[in-house]
Amino acid sequence: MTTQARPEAVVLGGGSMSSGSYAEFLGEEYLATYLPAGGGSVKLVVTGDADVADRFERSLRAAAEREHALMVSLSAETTKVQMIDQVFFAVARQIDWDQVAVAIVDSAYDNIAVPAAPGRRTVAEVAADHDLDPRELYRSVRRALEHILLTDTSLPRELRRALLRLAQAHLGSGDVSSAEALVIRGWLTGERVGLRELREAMIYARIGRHNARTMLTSVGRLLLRTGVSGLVLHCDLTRLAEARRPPIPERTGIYYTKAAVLDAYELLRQLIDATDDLVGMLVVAVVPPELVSDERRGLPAYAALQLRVADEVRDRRRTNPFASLVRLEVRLEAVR
Amino acid sequence: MSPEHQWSEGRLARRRAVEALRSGVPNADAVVALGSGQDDIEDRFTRLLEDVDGPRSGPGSPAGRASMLLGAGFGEGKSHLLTHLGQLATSAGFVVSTVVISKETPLHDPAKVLRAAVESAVAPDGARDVVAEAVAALDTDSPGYAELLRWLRGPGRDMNERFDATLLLHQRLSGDAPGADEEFLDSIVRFWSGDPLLMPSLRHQLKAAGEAKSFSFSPVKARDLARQRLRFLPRLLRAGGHAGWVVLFDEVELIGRYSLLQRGRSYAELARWLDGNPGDEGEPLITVAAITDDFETAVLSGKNDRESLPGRLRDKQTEEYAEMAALAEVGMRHIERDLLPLVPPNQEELDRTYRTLRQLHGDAYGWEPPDVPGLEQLGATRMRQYVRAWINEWDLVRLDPGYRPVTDMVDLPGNYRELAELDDDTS
Repeated sequence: MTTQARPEAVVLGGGSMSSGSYAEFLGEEYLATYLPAGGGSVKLVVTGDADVADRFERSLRAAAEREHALMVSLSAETTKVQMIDQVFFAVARQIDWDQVAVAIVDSAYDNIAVPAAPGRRTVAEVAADHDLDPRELYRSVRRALEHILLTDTSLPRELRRALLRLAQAHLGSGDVSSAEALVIRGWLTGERVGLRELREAMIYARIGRHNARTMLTSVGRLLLRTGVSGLVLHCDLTRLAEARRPPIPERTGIYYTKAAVLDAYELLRQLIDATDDLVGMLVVAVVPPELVSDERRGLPAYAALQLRVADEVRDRRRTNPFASLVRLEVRLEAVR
Repeated sequence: MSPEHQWSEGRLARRRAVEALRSGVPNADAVVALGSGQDDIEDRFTRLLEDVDGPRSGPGSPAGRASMLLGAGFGEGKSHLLTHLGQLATSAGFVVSTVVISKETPLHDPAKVLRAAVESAVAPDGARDVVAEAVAALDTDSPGYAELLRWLRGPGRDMNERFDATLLLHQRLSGDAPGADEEFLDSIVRFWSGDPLLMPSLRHQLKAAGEAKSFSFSPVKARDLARQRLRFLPRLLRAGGHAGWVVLFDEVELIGRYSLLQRGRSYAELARWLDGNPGDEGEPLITVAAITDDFETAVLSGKNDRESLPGRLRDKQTEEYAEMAALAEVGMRHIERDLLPLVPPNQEELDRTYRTLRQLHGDAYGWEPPDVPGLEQLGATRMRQYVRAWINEWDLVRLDPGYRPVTDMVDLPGNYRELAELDDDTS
């Protein structure tokens, strides 16, 4: 055993893996078992260049599909990754909220020992299938839905109400029309919906910075209920490294001030600290090598995140793929 | 199915713990397994929990708010200890919030800090939306509610009338009262939690309740309302059935990277959080803040804040800045004189931690970790580094049982260089 602290060249680097083998590793160690069991984690992945980043994304998507997880990809070029509500909306747009609602309705019917056949979930259909009075069945399943959702304090209040409305829309009892369900889905995905319409669903606030984080960390939990083995949130943060904006005709997408870069790091830091709340969710943030060492826009500029992910202790010869920061096909970076 | 693919709740908890420890962040299960190793601090904190009901002034009793200020170096266990204290508080029936001072939650902004405290609050039963849940549990016939009213109309009568008015309206509108307005009730809860309240709405509701002439509302700044919420909420939570509220502050040393003015504001806010409002006896609120133990040297002396900052604030020649200067001096004195140092781990503690982590890793992955060398035990090595090294080595050996890890360490010291972007409130 040898221990060395190197005061001369502060190398924030360990070894490097191939993009394919790391994606496979994540599939085996995280997506196959840990996420479906309710676990969560945040990884920072340093990719050598754009080609490595692309190959990693494809390999990770393939791994997610193999393990029946949903992978959502965001790019800092097109999503304001420093804003948690925008991140949530980008994720929410790729969620099948109907599938979530159906899973909840099925649970409610199961809880009252009146299982619904696939595709036959309205109260009338289930009542007919089980030879029950529809009015009594409606009361029972409505109560079961409320019990499942409104008492689930692991979910934010507004989300509980939203899911209740989406579930009710499937009962076919007229409580919630398809138009109202559309409003709820619009609220979830950041579309402009009127507060008056939301009020009818007893939702009195829009999704914003104050509540988006708990909304986001709830998504994995909800997906697990639908039989999906978890959520992989893949965020390409390459754009954060671009300090100089090109001439206007050449600009594409979003550019980040230094302050916005730090806000993006703060968002990651919060997710790392909330690992206990990341049920069924793996966050994979992809960065270029310069963001690991650059003192102006890289991790050294935001100590709170750097201290959480940088490999201040590492093996001399091997990369630990379980580490919070993993390098893919990239040389060691050195920083003074 | 191999042991690796069988998941009990306990195994999931241990795996989560190992995931968190890789990032050097405390996790509830890891903290339960490891304990704190800080018996004196734990005993002091337990006494604060027990004493929360009693008067905080009088012979032999500490005056002012129940609070503690903890100090240690980077990576030496402050966050871990805060998590442990939070668990003690939870067991004692308190709502617990953890506020990590950051760019988004600057200590100098009481509204943002209060908002972060409310959003991070967790009730003893694990519920979030703590304010809403407590309000839902309010019983207007209970002694707790009567105590809330007594305080609001007695020692708390200097509070802005919005609190009295909204409490009155909540009582009138909630439950099965006819004409209950769900949306307005929701807006009251959000107001208490930190959101603005539309005054036309409030006045309309008071008029409908026949109380239009009972209140005249004076303008109030957002930061003053935030400070008043901090006095109101612990009592509201108490009335909702909780023992009180514990707010834990982590990474307070970040204030060392603010501009001079924001450092001044932050010292003043620190004083407010630690000392509370004079005369607010029996306040069911405990605050614990953690800061690096070199802050005094690096910032109070190193940046000459102790000597020059109060004068620079007074040079503004306004009442607000004069008050800020006085409070900033108090805040700095707390850092100088009241810091409770964490005790560094001795050999026995390190050995115990090693054994516990080895068991934790084994339970998390369904295997029997062998002994690993870890880092050489030097005085300068931080606990976080020991922990990460052991876990790193077990990870590698689990992947390749024939491998012998050799661990290198890179020191990542903190710094207090001013960071202009921390003062940017535009995001």
